[in-house]
Amino acid sequence: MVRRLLYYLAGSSLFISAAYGADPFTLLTLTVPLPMDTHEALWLDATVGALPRGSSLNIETEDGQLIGTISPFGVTALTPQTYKLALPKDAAKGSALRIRVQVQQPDGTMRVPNSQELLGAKLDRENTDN
Amino acid sequence: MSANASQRISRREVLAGGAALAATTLLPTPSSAAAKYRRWNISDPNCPARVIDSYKKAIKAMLSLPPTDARNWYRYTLIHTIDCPHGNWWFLPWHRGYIGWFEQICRDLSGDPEFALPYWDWTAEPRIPKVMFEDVLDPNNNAFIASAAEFKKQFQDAVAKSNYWSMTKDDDGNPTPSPQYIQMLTRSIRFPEDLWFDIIDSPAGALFFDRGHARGLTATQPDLMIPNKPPEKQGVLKAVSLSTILDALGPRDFLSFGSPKALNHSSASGFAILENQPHNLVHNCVGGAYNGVGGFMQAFMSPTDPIFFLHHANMDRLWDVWTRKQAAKGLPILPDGYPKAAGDAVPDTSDYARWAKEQFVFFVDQKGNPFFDQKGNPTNQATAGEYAAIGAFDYDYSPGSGEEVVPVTPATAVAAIEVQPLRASLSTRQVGNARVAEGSVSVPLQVIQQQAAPQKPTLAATITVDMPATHGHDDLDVFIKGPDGNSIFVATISMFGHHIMQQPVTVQVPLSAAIADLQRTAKFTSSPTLNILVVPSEARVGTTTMNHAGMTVVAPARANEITAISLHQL
Repeated sequence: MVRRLLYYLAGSSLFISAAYGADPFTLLTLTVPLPMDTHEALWLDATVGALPRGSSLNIETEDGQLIGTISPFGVTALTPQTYKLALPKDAAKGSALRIRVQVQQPDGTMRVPNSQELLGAKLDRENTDN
Repeated sequence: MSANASQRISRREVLAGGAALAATTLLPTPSSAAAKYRRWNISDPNCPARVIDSYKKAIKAMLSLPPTDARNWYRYTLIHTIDCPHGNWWFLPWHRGYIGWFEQICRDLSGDPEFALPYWDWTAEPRIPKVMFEDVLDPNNNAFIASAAEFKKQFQDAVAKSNYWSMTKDDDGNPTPSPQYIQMLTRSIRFPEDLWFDIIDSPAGALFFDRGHARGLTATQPDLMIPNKPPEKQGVLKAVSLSTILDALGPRDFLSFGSPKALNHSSASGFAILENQPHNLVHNCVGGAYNGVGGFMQAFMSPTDPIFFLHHANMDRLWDVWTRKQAAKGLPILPDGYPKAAGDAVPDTSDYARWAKEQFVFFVDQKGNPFFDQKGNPTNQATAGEYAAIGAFDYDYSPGSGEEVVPVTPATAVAAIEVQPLRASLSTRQVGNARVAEGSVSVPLQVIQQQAAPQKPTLAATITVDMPATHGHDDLDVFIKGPDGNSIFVATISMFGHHIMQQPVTVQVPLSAAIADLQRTAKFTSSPTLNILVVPSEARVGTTTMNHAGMTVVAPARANEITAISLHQL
């Protein structure tokens, strides 16, 4: 049985685009669900639309720890897809988790995802052995 | 073979004279029985040298077959191009069948009756194994077709005359598309030129990569790296790292492990970690998506690169590891409703029934024969359920990364008390306008204590909600409150879509985590009375605020009514 307690961006989260140095990013604030039992871990569900071929979404914690790279395989999806990423165990501090999202382009440069590329994100309590 | 032998089939049928799989539902059951074939880590010193030699022989033989032969290297690649599932719960069984039948073809054409595919353990070896740049193991080798134009020239006639586009007749004699053609139409491939457009001309990116660009990584730069990224930002290395693999193997249900449900295997709905991290990023990195070189592995003609089969053998190995972990822990190994013993009935409406009957209509056997007769009727080996287990493919894997998640000693039988449904006494029923529905129920101490124990039956609350007609749906939060007044959040009840409810709707929410949390602080020594509370999550209309359980909520203008709450053991 999977316990899914959904915390959507709407209403409780913020999109902020910012730039530190040369790499712009979108900063998301997500509400952290509590409490969790011994078999639950916090996972991120990112809903992603069509990305240009060869582009990826890099997702990091606010302090720059890489959570994961979303890199669609094959033909460009016409409908949004949800990608799951496990969060570092120490990623969530308190009731909010802030993540940075960037599009890595084929030439290696970074930019902010647009509203057709990053459609949303939520935190999910995953029933897991790990 | 070793003690970690792979899944065996308890009711295996091996038909005389061939390697046909059982036509009945296959039950994966752990067994110490030896597998006939072993899939080795290609870089394991114990991997027999003949494995590589036989693989090269088979590739050369498949490249030499005429385009009209379904076993031709590129014809077999096209099966993936036109039928591969990604982003859904058929991703794993389809690829098990696809590489399994490929292995049989290799065994036949190489003349090596013991051949089994090697696998690439990218966690232990995050670079393309050196041997995969030798001879025809490298798709830039001259034995492969040099350009997209040449590929079309050689194959367009054979593709046009293939059974992809065939028509059959229904029982009344009316022409109807074959199962293959129906699948093609599902992917908007109406006729051969649609397929060639996708392969060569699609503005989303071609699927064919000319010689020199057939693989994105090289013998001098074989590492799974993204150029110009510092080590801590290497997304591909992160994706194949042991920590990510352990996360991918962590889920305790099939959908969270093997990607979610979808309408059919040609549509996508989402990606579990296993698929979206190591699977996707290895494909794209080897396919030169990050360094601009290009390469087959980044798109749906990826099986053109011989490393595809080693990559997917490792994916299949991890499915096998996860299955053995689940079985050892007494957890489900397939979608809900799968038969746990021979003769178990499978409800038609179960997730498993829906998953198992999905048809895979393009596979061919070691002689190139399809699994459909001339009338379009499936013969066998044509459904997902027949790839739920390794079955008559009869291989296992040499141990690789992630194996540590499988318990050495399987869990002993779980001793748990039986709990009859516990009906809560409702003191208030309305939810909204600053009102909270509340019910109380006495829960046996033993049930409380076993909620924190792994592999014990868990407890859920069944809540019946009567929603006002024509009313939109407010999310409702469920809390559980102990005798000490502490409240623990349980779950949010959230309806999907705009349904008009004709009668009260019943939902089930898990209680075990919250009860275990209550027990950690309250340390009950006798059977406690617990209160179940249902409150509005937030309002779309209304301004009344209330403070409950440490949360501020806004009540909706119209109320829902809770008509029943009971506790059930799952």
